[in-house]
Amino acid sequence: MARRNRTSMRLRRLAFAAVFVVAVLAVIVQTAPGVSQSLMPLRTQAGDLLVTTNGTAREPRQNPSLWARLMGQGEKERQIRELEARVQELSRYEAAARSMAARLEAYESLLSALGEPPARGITARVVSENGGPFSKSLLANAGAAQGVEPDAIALNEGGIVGRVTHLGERSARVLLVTDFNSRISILGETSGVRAIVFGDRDGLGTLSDLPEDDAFRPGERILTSGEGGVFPHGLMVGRAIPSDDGWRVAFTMAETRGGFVQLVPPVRIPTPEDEPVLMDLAAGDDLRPDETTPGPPQ
Amino acid sequence: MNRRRQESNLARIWRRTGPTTRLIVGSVLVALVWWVGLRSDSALGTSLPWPLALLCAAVGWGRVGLAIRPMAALLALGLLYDISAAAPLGSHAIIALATYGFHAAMGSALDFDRDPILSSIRPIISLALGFGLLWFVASSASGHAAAVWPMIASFLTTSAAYLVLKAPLNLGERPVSASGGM
Repeated sequence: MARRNRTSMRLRRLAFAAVFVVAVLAVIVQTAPGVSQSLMPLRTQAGDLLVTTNGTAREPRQNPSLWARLMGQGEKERQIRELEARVQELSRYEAAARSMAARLEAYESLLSALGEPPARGITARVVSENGGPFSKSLLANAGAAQGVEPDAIALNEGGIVGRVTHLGERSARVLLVTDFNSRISILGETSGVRAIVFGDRDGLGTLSDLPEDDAFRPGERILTSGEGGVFPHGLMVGRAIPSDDGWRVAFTMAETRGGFVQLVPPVRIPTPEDEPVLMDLAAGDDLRPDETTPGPPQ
Repeated sequence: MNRRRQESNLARIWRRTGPTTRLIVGSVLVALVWWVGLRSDSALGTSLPWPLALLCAAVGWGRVGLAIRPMAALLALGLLYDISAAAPLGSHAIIALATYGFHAAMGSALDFDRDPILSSIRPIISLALGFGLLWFVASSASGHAAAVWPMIASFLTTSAAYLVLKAPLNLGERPVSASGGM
């Protein structure tokens, strides 16, 4: 009996060691980008499933139950749906108004436009927000089926929220600007100082690649500079705050918690294939695409 | 009076429940806490440090020693946590299994159950090890040292949650040997 117990115990220990080693190897193998990329579909499908189980991707119930009708719950649900739609619409108007104000200031001071803020996008509800130790991200209930593009930019009333890193059919995972692994090229609205901002442990942004001589103005607005081709120029990032180590950025997206994000298409840097230069070798002239030739996708 | 009788009935039913049913009930509870935690920020409008119920399960199930089915359950639940936390697949399984193994090994090495002080310290030590490992794995995976304070806050809420989840996560007494099993 005792011998049988010992064998059983040995087997259990062996199983434990095997499962543990397999888990460790699985994590180590995923450090290879190829393996990590191959697991992406699994993650995006899990995100879709998560969105569905959270109930936000489901169509609202059209025929409430008798009990719900008696208790007036159906009417309340209808009002909530209307209000949610109104909030989505208003948040779009607010974002447009803010960007127009920023553009107007730029026109007045420089007499030329610096950039064109994106106008179109899809407003999605935030299903879950993850501020855990691995990464700071959120899951939105809109994906490729709703027209969200890979690498789309997420905005809220406060400004830039992050960038879509995993795009599913009905869900999109957004890496927040507060994450350590996010990098945004920025510039001070007044000072014009350029730098790169990334998220830090305390929720504020830390700046790198700052010029030695220039400094931000306390409280000035920090905008995306558009360099690097990931984010367009002029999106609100935060405000500059002086600290003991230099300058930090207080992200304005954290000031508002509406529960919605607007997912706008990313900036695309055209490749040579997008804008081919046709050469007439005999004449030696450039044959540029004429007006009738379809241009590159914007 | 009725309520007390109901509670005692529930306790009696739970006492008679086998380890497999207990494991299923415990897994459902852990998944439920995980699911509510996913929505806690947007639904409750607060960034409450949510308890890591997976570690509660690792400690609760590790109390009776090593067994195959709890390991499989921890592996499956760990994958749920990995997907929601955008962590490398297997990370939470490593953390949960290490905590589970450590808690089981502590139980077989020392007789904690006879001493009430040691018995209450044992889960805290195991949870602390789990969170230490979580910090290490998260820091290694993300390429920078993870924030410590949110993790301490989560450790405190997890310890509090363990007090509540302790009973449903108990797989029963060790049947034969000191090492136990299902």
